[in-house]
Amino acid sequence: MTIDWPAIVFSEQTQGRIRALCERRFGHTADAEVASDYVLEHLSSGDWAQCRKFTGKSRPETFLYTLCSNLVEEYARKKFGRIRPPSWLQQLGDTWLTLWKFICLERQPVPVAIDRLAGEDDALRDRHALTDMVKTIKARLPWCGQQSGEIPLEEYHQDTPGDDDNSDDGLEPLLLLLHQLVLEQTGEPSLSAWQNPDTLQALRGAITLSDEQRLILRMAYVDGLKFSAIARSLNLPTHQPARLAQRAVAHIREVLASRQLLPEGGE
Amino acid sequence: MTSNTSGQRQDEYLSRIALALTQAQPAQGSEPDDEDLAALLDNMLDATRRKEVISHLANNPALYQRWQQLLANHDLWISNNTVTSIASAGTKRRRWWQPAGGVTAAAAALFAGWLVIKPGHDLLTLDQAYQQFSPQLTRYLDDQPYMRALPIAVDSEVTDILAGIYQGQQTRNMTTSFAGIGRAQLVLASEEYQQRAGSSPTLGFEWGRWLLLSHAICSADPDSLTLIAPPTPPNAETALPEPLNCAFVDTQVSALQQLLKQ
Repeated sequence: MTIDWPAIVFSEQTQGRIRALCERRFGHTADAEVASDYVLEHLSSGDWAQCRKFTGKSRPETFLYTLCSNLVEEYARKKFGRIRPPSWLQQLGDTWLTLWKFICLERQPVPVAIDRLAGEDDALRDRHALTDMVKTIKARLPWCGQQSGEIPLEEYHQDTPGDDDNSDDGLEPLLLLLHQLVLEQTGEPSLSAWQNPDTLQALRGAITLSDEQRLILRMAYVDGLKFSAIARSLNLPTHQPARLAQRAVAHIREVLASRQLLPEGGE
Repeated sequence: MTSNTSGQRQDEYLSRIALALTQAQPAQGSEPDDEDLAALLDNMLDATRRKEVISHLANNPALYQRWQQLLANHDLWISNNTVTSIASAGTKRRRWWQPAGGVTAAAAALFAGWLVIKPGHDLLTLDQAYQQFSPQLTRYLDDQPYMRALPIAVDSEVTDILAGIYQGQQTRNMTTSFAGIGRAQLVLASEEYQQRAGSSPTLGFEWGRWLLLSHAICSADPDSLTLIAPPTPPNAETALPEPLNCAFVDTQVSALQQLLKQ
């Protein structure tokens, strides 16, 4: 597909977009300017090799957006390193991780980080929930966001190849914790059933969710995206994500209840 | 994270449990590249490839994280659109779930027409409609953004409308912004209305209640708008279209917003 990438990338529109992307990522700082240069340099390198991978499956400007987004993140990783967050944060989901990265690692101002994750007019996430998340992170990691002083080494370690693998380590403690939370307002927890490995195995077989349901549950309940934002991002009818999520939760509830893993009040 | 009620908290925890138990399923098809993700944003994938890409997003945390980054800034990329787009940016995309052609639109029009002319068909009163469409209203209110706008003085008719909107929200025990009008403005209007309210609601108040519910229905199920009996407009010059449609509702919301501009 023949596209004049230099003309597109160096157009006033694209230059403005790249600048805006970098300023949202790093604020109005020198880093934003350096990141803009980094993006332009890498887009044009190798005779526009990255751009020329375009085959026409998407619109050119959206493809260009994905490349720019990747390059901005690549710059951030080179600048701030790739540091592994605490395991408790990893279990809480990508929104928590992103907040941690912005505030603790890159030391961005809290309002800027919240603005970014809440989206324009708070279209993506609830601002108050994000504020609560920041409070939790700061309470558990007192060094987070401080402009001076060393970050305790035990708080993090550098990523090593293979660390991204999803392992089942820690699954049972997570389930126990979550189960307790589920039951905190509804009745007496019966943790013994949850501690039984056979129970977990049986649940794995009994809970059947489609990929779309798993994606929507994750976006909505783990990462706090509004259902309207999910619908827009997946091009679904406005209330389809909420319906799919409700069906999935009802199914999960039914499976747990049928194995007496939920008290009657929680059903 | 979205939760403010115990029910929502339970949904979140149940979801987390289910996701932990069902993680790392083998994804379908080849791993999506940058252009696949771009095509998903553009809604240009065919149904099969779309399903495969969704499968990877659901099962590949690293890819999901990249997708989240793309979603977070896509609005910024689109809104920086000061120069003519390099592609057909103005072209309205067909949603993948909509069949080609106007079959759906025709069916909807027929259905709406049938509702209007159905013999013996009784329109819902506003109170009945609030009961029937309460789930849609709850979801609609839940999606309203937080607005920081400070209250400004408005005339009594607008105050009545805003008070009606606030009252409509209270049927779900929720106070949110409405179409860019901040919560503080709605609360203030309600307080003012209460101080001078008579025994029966004013036209403006009822109009506000109808406007809120209609806006919610238009975002969820536009065809249902014709099921509700509209109240008399507070402004005698406002002519109700026949049948009622969401474009009219949008116009009324815009008119209200104009009255509130400082």
